[in-house]
Amino acid sequence: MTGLLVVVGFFVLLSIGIAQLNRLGRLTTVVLLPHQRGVLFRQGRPVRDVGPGKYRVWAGRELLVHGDVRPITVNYENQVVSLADGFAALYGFSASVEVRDIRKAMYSARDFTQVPAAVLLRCARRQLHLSSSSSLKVDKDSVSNRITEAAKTKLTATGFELMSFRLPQLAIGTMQPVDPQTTPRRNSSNG
Amino acid sequence: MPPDVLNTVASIIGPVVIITTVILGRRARLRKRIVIPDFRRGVRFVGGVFSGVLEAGSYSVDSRKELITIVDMRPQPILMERVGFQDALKHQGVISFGTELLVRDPKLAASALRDQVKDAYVLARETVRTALSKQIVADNGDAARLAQTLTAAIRAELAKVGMGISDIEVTELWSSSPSAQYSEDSVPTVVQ
Repeated sequence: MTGLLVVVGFFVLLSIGIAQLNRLGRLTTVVLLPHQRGVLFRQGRPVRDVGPGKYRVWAGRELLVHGDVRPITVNYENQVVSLADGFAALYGFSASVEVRDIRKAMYSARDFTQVPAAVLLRCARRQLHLSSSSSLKVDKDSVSNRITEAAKTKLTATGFELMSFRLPQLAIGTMQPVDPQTTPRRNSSNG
Repeated sequence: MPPDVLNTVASIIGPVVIITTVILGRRARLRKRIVIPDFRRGVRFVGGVFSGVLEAGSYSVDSRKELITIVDMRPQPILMERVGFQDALKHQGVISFGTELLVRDPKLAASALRDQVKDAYVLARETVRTALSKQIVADNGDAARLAQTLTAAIRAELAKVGMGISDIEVTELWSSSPSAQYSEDSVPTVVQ
């Protein structure tokens, strides 16, 4: 009789266990490579930052969100900007950015790899637009430094570090109409 | 309790427990658990009807009846570079600015937009053109005022689809004077 009750008790516990199994989730293994960093979320909240290595994660309760922290190279050429005095500049820049704080970077954008390019394009255009053609002719380094400083501040706030910035292409010109016969009429919807 | 009664009870409980175990096991397999981190939200539909927005946490979902649409709440940086416009005085101009797209209402954004970023970007660009056509853009000194006007106009438009933007930073503003050579057929070029 006692044996029978033990068997019944076992099945009762088993059914409760199975019912709870789904709540617990599956234990899975996540491996982060040397160039990856991640943040472990438990019940949707960030618990800790994790570096390279092997981690056991309860799939139903925990989530390991990881990202690549290898340097991001940003390179743009032949960008046109109007200057403060009505002239125009043709410019190009290259930069290298590294992720310093994966959690900040992760929260900074849906795809954090797009942040450096967006920040650098914004800062470069703004600083050049605020400059005059004469100041650019005299002191190109000054505008390059201003772009670097502005970008550094914004990038640091989002978990990145600007490793290098160069402005190899910078030419001054004027805004002028082009020959209508050689240029197709612009579609107003394309701008 | 007499032994034969116990035997009868056990013989009933045994199969019931086995059947319950099998049913619970099958139900457990049909349900799956999802984790929603704090930078996302889940828009839950039960039987095709909206039933709520899930905050950060771990949830059990019955895939036969429920559908969870995950919405990413993180900002999306966007740049609009050299957008051509014609202001209220028919002056041609070029504006560039940067901002960040944000999801304000996950339910509305999930149901109103197929691609939140692309669709909101197009809406914002068209709003900029419309707003600028009603403005008089004199010179670069207008940038701050214009940024406020554009921010308000885009926010009002995107609010209809559950989206929003951070404050706009105007990075370039160029407007032709009436005597300038810039015309609809002209494009900005650089003459070295």
